[in-house]
Amino acid sequence: MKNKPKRTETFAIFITLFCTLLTSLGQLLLKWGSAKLELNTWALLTNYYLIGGVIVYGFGAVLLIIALKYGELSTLYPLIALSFVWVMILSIYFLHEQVSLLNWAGIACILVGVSAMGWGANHG
Amino acid sequence: MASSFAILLVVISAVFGSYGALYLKKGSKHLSKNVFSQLTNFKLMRGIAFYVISSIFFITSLKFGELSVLYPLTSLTYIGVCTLSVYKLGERMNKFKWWGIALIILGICLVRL
Repeated sequence: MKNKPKRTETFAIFITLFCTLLTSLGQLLLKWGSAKLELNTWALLTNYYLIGGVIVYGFGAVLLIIALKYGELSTLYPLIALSFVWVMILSIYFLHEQVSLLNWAGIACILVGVSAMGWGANHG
Repeated sequence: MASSFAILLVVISAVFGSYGALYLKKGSKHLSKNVFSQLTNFKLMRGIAFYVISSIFFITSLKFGELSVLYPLTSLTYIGVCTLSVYKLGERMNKFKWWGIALIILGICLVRL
């Protein structure tokens, strides 16, 4: 039998997918926080969006590093592209951005691509 | 549009991003419950540093070009990561993963139009 390289654990994939949601939320919070950015200490300390954004984003980053321990880099890293999907959905809902049909086609491509990565991880 | 200087910055950003991800993966092998011991996890620290450097290059590039052109170029990082994974980590690619990446890159370009 050929020696198989270490496979990607399924839970590592799910942790990574959850990470992308956290980092996208974090980015949105940071964006809101940076709009009210003032360069004095008190304003920074009470800029809850900024602080929340850093915490959420940081937590997402930590989870990603943990997920990397249990999965292949070439499988998990491209999953980060899912954050494009989250950011677009969040932008539509919270920032009322307009999106075109081509943008939706892009989302579909990313979703199919991410699924292909997940499938290819263990069925290559 | 984007100047060639902006594109160069994004390419550099992608290189740092790819190697950063590689070091993060290598550093993740030594994770433990002791958070403070991670500060001496040099591969991890290097990975984080490279990621920060990569972000700085990318943010700088935005001064010289449009987001809608430059953002899709960051997908070069995905190709870089997969190539590095094969050659440095011994990981294997297969047709599903390559097609997956191709679709993801296409999707990123379409989303950013």
